[in-house]
Amino acid sequence: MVYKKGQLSADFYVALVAFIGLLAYITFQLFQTVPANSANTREETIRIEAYQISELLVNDGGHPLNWETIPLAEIRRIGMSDSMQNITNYLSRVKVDRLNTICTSSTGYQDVKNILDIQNEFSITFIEHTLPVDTTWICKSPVPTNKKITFNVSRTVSIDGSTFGEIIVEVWRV
Amino acid sequence: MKGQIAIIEAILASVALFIAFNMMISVGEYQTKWKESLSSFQGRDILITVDRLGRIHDYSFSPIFNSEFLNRIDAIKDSIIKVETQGALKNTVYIACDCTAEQVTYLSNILDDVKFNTRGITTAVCPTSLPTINNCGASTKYPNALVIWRYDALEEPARSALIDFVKDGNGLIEITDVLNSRVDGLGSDDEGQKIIFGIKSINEGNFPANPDEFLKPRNSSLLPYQSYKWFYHAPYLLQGTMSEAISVEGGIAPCVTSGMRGEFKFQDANHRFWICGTTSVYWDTNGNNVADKVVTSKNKFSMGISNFFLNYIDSSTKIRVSFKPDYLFNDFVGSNNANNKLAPIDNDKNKVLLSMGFWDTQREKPIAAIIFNGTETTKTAWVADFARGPNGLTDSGDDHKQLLASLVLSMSNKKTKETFQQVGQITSYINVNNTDILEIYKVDLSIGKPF
Repeated sequence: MVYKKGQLSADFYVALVAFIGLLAYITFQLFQTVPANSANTREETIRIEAYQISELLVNDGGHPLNWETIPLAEIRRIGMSDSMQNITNYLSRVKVDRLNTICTSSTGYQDVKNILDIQNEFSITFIEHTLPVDTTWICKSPVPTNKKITFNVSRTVSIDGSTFGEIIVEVWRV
Repeated sequence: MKGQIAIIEAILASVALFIAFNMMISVGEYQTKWKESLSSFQGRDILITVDRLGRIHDYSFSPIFNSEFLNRIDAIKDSIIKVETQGALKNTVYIACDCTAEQVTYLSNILDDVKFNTRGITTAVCPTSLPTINNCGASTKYPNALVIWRYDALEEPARSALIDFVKDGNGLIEITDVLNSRVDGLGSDDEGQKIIFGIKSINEGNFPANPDEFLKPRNSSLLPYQSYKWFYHAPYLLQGTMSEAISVEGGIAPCVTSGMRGEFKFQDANHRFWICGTTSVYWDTNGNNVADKVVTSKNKFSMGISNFFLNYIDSSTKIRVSFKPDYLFNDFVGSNNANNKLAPIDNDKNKVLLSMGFWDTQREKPIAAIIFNGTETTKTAWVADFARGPNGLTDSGDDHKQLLASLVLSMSNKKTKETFQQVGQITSYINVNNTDILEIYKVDLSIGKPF
């Protein structure tokens, strides 16, 4: 093969083009995949947290079990399940009322957030289907926030085995 | 040529690397299925909550589940909801009867007001004539049960129609006396009787003068078990029709008001009773038309050798009683030795529900009055014609009526035939109710989104 000064072989050019092409492709893929996965993961975290909160409220009796009778500072975990019955989807009216009382105080939202160790913003809507009209209360932040990613979980429950209601837990990222 | 090969190598290597990197870098989408999961646990929450409220049994069989509960749940307002119950008697049972108008009326009266496990059953009884099987207004091809109350040589096309009917899961009951020669295997037999009802005649002596007794099924998987259970547990309706003062004897406390008098006929004898308000029932147990026993609701009582249980006092004119073991019938098989010397075609005595004793001392050959055939879902029963007497149906008693109702209701199709289109996630819940009769059934709740 005859080489001229300053000139490279065709093989080299082909290999170089192939290499640069591959490098560009890999870079493009990484930039496309990583943010999408991160967004999915963030969304998944929101969903998981919403479900966890709903499960705690519906099927956990809280800690200590008589948290509805003790001062707020001593409450370790909030759960509205009736500890005497110890069955799923059976709420204690006294615990429901206590959570409502906590939420209606000026620091109630932040207190619930701290006790349940909730990382994102949230709201808890409680609807009791009574006749002639439903009874509803909401536990939410007093300061309105924008919702970027939001997810809500709705749970159907019985209250003291006599009436039924819904707990809607909404969690969102600001 | 050398340069060309190198280029081809480079291209091939590039393609290989491209594929390899593509496989390594592209991440498969993780299917979380939150939408399906939410529907699924919403269904679970709803059924559990209904159970916690103590309403699962009421709601399983009633449209009030929608109006009182489901329509009020905000979370499923825009969802497609469907509720179905499998394995229990339906709210409306359709029964066709290939029989006379009098027999249709008799059957309708027996099944007119059925109540058990705190729920009422509606029945639609209609006449039919084989090979046509009238569906009695059901939304399905066939009714849930068919009663043939006459002897009919089961030739084609009736035979095929009946086989198809039974294969569909519906109950088939034949009430007739069968000539021994029709199923003795000695030529010109009625093959339809053998195939569908699984009966054959046996060469034995004369019928003894025994009462007819139930052969207690040894386990619940045996064919006669459900009918046996129904006979002894289903509340039977008795009505008081005439108001009169109640005469009492034997030192029992009198009823402070007049009572509604009715008659309870069993073992060919009438026994008067009087409903005292809505609290107690006075019974004449010795046949002298004077009350000698007072029974309140949910209590056992006996008359002669027969035992009963007062399930409900519905009102001052309606009560419901159930028969209790061991009940004996009079003259069910008959005494004509040319008829009804029948046995299961495979000699399996476990297929016999009622017998007039046994032909042999080893108690292996029952003198059968009711023989079952088939499987749990394709069940048929041959019943000796208890109304063969000169006065026909008038001679039959409440015990016969209870037995007939038990056969029809226990054998009727319990499978939901409506197309259960899967519009979403189905949540199943098994419920048990044993207020009167043990019922174990499955409630399916389907929640789906329109798109």
